[in-house]
Amino acid sequence: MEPLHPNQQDLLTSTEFLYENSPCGIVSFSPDGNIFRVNKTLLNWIGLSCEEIVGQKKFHDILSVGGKLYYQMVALPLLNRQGFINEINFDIDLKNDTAFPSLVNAIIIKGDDGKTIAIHATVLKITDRKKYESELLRSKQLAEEERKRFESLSNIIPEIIWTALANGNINFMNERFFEYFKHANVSSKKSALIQLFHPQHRKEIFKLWVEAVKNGEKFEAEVLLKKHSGNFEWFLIRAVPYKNPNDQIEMWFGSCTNVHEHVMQQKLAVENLNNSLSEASYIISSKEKTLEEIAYSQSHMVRRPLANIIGLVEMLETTEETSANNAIVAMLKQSASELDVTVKEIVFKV
Amino acid sequence: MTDIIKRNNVKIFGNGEKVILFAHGFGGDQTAWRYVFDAFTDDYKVILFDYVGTGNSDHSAYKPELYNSLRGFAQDVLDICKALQLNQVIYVGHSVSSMIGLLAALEKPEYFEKLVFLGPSARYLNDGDYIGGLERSDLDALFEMLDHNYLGFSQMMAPAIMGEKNTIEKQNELTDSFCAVDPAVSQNFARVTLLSDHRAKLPFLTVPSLTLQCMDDVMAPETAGQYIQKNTPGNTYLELYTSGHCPHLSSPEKVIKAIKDYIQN
Repeated sequence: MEPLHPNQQDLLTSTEFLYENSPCGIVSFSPDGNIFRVNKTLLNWIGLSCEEIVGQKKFHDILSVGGKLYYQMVALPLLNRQGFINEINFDIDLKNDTAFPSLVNAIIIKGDDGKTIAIHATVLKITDRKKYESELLRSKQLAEEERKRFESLSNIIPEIIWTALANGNINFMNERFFEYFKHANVSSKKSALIQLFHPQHRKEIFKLWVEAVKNGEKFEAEVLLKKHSGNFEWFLIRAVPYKNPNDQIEMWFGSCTNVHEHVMQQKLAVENLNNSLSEASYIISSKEKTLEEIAYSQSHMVRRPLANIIGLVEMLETTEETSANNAIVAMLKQSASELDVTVKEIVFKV
Repeated sequence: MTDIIKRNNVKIFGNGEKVILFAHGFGGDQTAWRYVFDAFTDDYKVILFDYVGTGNSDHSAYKPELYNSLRGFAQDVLDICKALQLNQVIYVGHSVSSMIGLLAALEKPEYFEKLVFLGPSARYLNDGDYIGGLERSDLDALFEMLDHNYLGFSQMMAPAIMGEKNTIEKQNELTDSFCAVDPAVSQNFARVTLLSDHRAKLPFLTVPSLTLQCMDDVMAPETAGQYIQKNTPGNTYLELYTSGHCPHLSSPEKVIKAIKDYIQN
C-alpha cells in the first residue's frame, strides 16, 4: 500500500477533519437549547444544511414529539444534576416526516463560576440495532402475555395449580390455592408452605422433592395438608418437569388435588377386607376342628361293622357246613348294611 | 412527626422566621432546587422534600391507590405542614407541583400565605378552545420514550445528597442502587400528572398566587399559564424570558429574582 502523502495525513488527522467527519454526529448547544455548532455527519443524517440549523434551531427541535417532552421532563434535569447523560434513546426528526433512532450522550461544560455554558452531545445512529431491540422488546412482551394467559387459565380451572423454577423453588400458585389455604396467611415462601404439611411428613416430603428436582424426575406424593378447619386432609401432589429443546429443565408444572375422601374410602375398604378375612379364617379353622372330631368319633363306628365283616369272612373260609354258611352270609349282609348306613351318616355330617 | 420527615426526606435549611417550601416537579426530586434554594437561606427557613416514591423518600410508603391522583401528592404537602406545624407558608411548586399546591391550599388555606407556580398547567391536553399544548398522541409518544429509556428514568429518580459534593463514582453507586425502582411507579406518576385536569378548581383558590411562565415550554405553553391567570382569583402572571420547562435549572438567577420580587412585595 502506498504511504499517505504528508499533506493528506495532516488533513485526515486534523481536529477539524475529525470533528466534521467523525463516525458519530456531534452537536453543541447553549443551556436553553440553541444550537451553535453541528458536524457534517449529523447534518448529512438529518438532511439539513448548517445554515438551516445553527442559530435557527434548538436541540429539542430536532427531536420527535415524545423526545421533546422527554428531554424537557427527564433528560435535561438529569443532565443538570449529574453533569452528563448516557445512552438516551431519542428519535431524530427528518425533513420528510420520518425519523431515525439514535443514542445520545451529552456532557455539561461549565464556566469558571460553575454555571453551565454549553452542552456537547454525540448522536449515534442505531437504525438496525433499534430493529433488533424492538424485536427483543416484542418477544419480551409476548412472553409476558403468555405468562398472563397461563395465569388466567390456571385461575379458571377448579384444580390447584402451581409452578416451580428449575431449582425447585415455588414461583406461582393459582387463585384456587389461596382460596383453599387462605387461613394460613400463605405465600410462596418456603417456610410458609412447609407449615401446611403435617409435621410427621415434612422432612420426608421435602427430601422427596429435593430428590425429584435433582434427578429431574416426576414427583408424586400423597400428603396430609392443614385445612382452614385446622384438620389435616389428604392431598395428592404431582409435578412434572418442563424441558426446553436442549433437554434442560426450565420449570416444573405441579398440581395439588384433594383426595381425602378417596383415601378414607380406601382405608375403610382395607379395614372391611381385613375383618372379612379374619372371619373367614375363623370359619375355616372351626370347620377343620369339626372334621377332626368327626374323623375321630366315626372311625370306630366304621371299624365295628368292618371288623364283623372281616371275622365273618374268615369263618366262611373255615366252615364247610351250608346251613352255617347261610347264617354267616345273613350276618355279613347285616354288617355290610350297617357299614353302609355309618358311611352315609359320615358323608351327611361332612 | 419523625415518620413524615423520614417518609418525605424533609430537609430544613436557613435560620429565617418565614418558611418557604419548595416542591419539585415530575420525574425529579428535591435536588432540582440545588441552584435556587441557597439564595433564600439567609432570610427564610427553607424546606425541601421528596414526594413519596421519588428520590430518598420511603418507597415502601408508595401505594398506587393513594397516589392515583394529584390529591395523594397534595396530602404529602399537607402532612409535612402539619408535622412541622407550619402556617402561612410560601409555597413554590414546579410544573405539576403547582396544581398539587393548589389542591393543598384549597383544602387548608390557613397553611399558606402565597403560592408560586413555576411552569404550571391546569390541563396538559388540548380540549376544544383550550390549548394545553399536548395531543393524546404526543403523550403516547412520551410514554413510549419512557418505556424505551426506563433505566434513564430510574436514574432520574436516583437520590443525590444535597450540599455534598458527589464524585461521579458516588453518583454511579447511588444510581446503581436505585435502578430497581419499578418503572411502573414512574409510569403511573407520568400518567397521573399528564392526564389530570384541574381547571374547574382554579376559581376557588383564596390564597394569592404567582404564575411564572417560560417561553418555548413544550410542557406548559403560554396559553396554559394565561388560562390560570385568567381563572384564578388573585393570580399574578409573569413572563420569565427564559425557555424550556426547567428554568430553575437553566436560568436559576431569573427564577430567584422573580420569586423574591413577588414574596418581598
